[in-house]
Amino acid sequence: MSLTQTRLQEERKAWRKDHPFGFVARPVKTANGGLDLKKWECAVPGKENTIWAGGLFKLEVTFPDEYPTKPPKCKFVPPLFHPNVYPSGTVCLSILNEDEGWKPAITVKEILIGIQFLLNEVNPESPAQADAYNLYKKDRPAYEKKIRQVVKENQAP
Amino acid sequence: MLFGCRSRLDPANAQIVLSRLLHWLVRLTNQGDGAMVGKKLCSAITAYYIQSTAPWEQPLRHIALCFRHGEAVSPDALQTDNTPFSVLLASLSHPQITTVLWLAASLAEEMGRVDSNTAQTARIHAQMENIVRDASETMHRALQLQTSTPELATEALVTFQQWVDYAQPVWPRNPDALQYLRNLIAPAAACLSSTTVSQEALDVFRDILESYTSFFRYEHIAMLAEIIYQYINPPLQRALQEQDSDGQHVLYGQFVIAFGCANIQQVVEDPQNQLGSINLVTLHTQMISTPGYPGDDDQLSVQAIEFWNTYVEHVNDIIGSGDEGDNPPWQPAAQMTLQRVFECLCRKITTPPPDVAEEWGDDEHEGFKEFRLDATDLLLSIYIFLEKPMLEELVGLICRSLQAKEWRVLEAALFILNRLADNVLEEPGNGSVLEKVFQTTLFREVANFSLDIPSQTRRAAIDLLGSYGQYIERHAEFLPDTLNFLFASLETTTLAAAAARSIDSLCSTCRAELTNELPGFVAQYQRFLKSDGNDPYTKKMVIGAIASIIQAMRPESAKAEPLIALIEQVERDVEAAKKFAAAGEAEQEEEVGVNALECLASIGRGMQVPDDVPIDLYSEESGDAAATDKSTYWQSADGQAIQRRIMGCFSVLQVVGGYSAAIDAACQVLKSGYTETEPGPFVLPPSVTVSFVQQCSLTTPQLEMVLSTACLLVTQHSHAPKAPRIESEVRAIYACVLNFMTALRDSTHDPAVANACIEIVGRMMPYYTHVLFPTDSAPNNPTATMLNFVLTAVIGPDQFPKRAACDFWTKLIKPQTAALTPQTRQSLEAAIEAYGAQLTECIIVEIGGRGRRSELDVVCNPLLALLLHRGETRRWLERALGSESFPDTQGRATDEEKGRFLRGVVAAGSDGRKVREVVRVFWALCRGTVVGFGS
Repeated sequence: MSLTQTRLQEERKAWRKDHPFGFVARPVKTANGGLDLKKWECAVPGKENTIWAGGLFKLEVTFPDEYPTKPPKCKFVPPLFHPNVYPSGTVCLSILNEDEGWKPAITVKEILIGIQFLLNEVNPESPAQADAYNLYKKDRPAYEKKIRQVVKENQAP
Repeated sequence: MLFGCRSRLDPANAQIVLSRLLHWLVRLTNQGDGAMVGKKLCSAITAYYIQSTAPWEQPLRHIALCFRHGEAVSPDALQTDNTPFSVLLASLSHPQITTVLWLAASLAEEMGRVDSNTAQTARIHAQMENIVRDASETMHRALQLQTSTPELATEALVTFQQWVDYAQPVWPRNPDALQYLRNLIAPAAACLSSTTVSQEALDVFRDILESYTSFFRYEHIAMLAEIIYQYINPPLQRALQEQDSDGQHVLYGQFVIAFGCANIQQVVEDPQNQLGSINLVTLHTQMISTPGYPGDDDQLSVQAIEFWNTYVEHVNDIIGSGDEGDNPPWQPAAQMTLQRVFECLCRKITTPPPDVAEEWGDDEHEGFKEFRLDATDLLLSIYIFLEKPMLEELVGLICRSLQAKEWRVLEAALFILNRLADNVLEEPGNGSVLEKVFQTTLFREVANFSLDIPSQTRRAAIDLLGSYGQYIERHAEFLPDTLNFLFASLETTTLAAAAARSIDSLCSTCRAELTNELPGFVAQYQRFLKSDGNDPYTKKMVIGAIASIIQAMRPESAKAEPLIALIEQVERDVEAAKKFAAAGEAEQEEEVGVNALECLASIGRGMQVPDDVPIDLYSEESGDAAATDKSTYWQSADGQAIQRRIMGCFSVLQVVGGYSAAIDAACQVLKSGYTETEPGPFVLPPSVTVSFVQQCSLTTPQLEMVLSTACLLVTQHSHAPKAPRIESEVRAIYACVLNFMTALRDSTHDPAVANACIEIVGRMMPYYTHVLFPTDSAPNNPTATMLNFVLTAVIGPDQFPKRAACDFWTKLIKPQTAALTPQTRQSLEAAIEAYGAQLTECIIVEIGGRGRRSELDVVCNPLLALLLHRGETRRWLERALGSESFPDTQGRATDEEKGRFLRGVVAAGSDGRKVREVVRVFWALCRGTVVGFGS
């Protein structure tokens, strides 16, 4: 079995054994009924006591063949209104960048918690979409109002 | 402590230190001086073992000899005294054996942290292969005494675990050394059934099973299975039945779970094996069949989920890989087992009756909720294996519980069905099973709000419509019942938002099937507006949903009346907002006014022709007829009157124009008509957008949104050679853009607006290039204002204007993709000649270290265009590299490096990848992150 597969199986096992409350992460099903370990359906809940609380945001996490040497790609589906999320939905986060903070030891759990943290802790140094970034910079109350609406559209069950 | 300084002792001093340590160890042990001091001394002795350069091959035997002699003896005694270690041990007191165990444990623990990458550490690791003999013998001796001296057995178990942990990474290919530890499995396992030390034994075995399964050989696994059957089954089952919560049964359960997971292949593939499979399956099933609630009084079921996940994934892996053919012999047994697990979990995730739930705090609620999520995750894996029969069972449960009015059971079943949606919908054959749910009275019953049904059950029913929308869309016969339920739910605050989302999605997708229901829905909407559930979000979602049904009506004139009814609703809110404004009630003015525009935008979205509207290839005539009907009606006096009323709603901006959300919503209204290819109520003349832009100033909130709306309008009218041109409107928008650029002076004052302005001028190429470059240009003309603004944005600190500016210049330098008049071409050429050198300088400023690394690719685009299309580029680059504006003030890039860079990019020329590479290295050199610029 390849290093990628072994690591992903460990990740799956570790996640099942212990995962933070309200988060979802599981590999998708393949056509023949097995699991495709390289593509996971995930969901990150908004953190309590923030404007994101109550929302659950779906993500597709895709692991490249070179994982864990290279980081997985995390994409919100549908794309999320957030300054650090590209219009395509891809998350812009240093720990997910091969040239910046990615380390092979970073676990799926740490990635998803990192993304949950990013929701409320915007990084204005790396804007990825203009709409959310501009509103965040120029009219914070309107930004927060808009986020509350986004949360309403993505309510946790 | 003692060797914290990590300096090396010479051999003579080392002997003295060791002798002192042993002296104190013997003395304090014999005095009975407590565990803390003894363990500290043992770790000091371990430190000596690791640090000392003098070989010390038998530390355990050495201290046993010291104990025997009652004092520290010299290491020479190890050579002269040949007493077998077992004889030595037999002569030691229990406290002395305990001390030997402490040292053994400490050696294993500390050596586990020592690499074997030097000669010294490799040597001390090699010695461990001998020490393990004495360690094993000591543990053996202690375990033999478990009944009389349980404390000794406990220490032996702790030491055992330390040695196994040590051995796992160090001795994977050393079965001889491992054997000394494996010999201890049987005596240690005997403690599992002991009344005094089973707790420690359960922990130790569980840990090894979880982390180092291959430590156990076949015979060990068989022995553990036997122990479980004989000694653990009775107390565990008793505890599960009686809901005994003394904690011991949790340890039993955790051990059994770890054993089951470690032995999963046998559990699954040898289902007739009494001890290796049947007993374990029974125990794990019992763990999820207890009457308690996870998160509250049931601690084990949440952990048992881990076993069942391992079980089902093993099954799915093998079935999915096809390695054992289509039907492995154990498949029927696995089906039966998982069928039973499914049934148990249906019961387990059923919410407690209100009197129990009322007693719960946040922790219990959260724990139970988490269990439900984990359990449904497991059920999804089980469904992948069981497929349709499981769905049939689930649907049967839904029908039965509905009939019996067992609302909580019904909720649990619906909760599961929702989680399975994606997989159930994948299989077209499941339609006949799902049908049974929708044919029941479910939606009529939950829609009857006079029935006392838990709100959670109604919520699950709403979620069902969200999850299975795709199915209902294909079964229009179920739409009226389901939608009536959803509309009725709008009046309940806790259900409104979820119901609105489902209404929106169903009405939008099934619009054509619902036109007859429209009057009823409108009436329900009116009722909802007067109810508690009425909040801005729900209101706009539902009004948009109704609009989408109106969109499906034919002919166009039939849309008028219901559409006017919706617009009237907006008009009422517009008037109300104005009244609130007049009365100085700002909060309500904002809420009602903004929501009026949001509702209007929502109607606009609903009225858009759906993307996937089927095209009937064989009835071209009727398609043409529909198009004719559209243009005739919406250009008639009646149609125009409706458009005027829509535009009239914009008057609310007089009172709420200062709010971002209002401007945002107004832009959405305008945009909703842009993508339409045929006339319609929201397909407003481009002049409406232009006048909206004209009314804005730099203080307008969300000005960038207004400008990007205008940008979209320009794009819509320039994206294709045949798109209709709107030159006078584009000129008017450009005039506004120039005003904003003049007022802003550069992109730093309002990067968002600057970005939107630059995007508009970028979009004006190539079909409106002549507007940007008029032929009658004079010095200080508007073109210069615009070009200067875009040029400074290239070196500005803000990323979005920088990207837009680079795109603009790239587009400008590349040959225009539409035909230009000779005059325009001349003006454009003159502009490039005038700005080429400055642009190159700006690009070099960025590449020379001022730009961010992530921006380099963006800045490379105009550079590539220059290299490819302008012969003067080399000269411009030379000048820019030598210019005072070059940012590398520390002179990291010497003239030689700059020359090499210049040759590098010019040689790379049209090879974009190569140019980017050369640029990245040069940037790093200027930044000081690399020392030399490679050739």
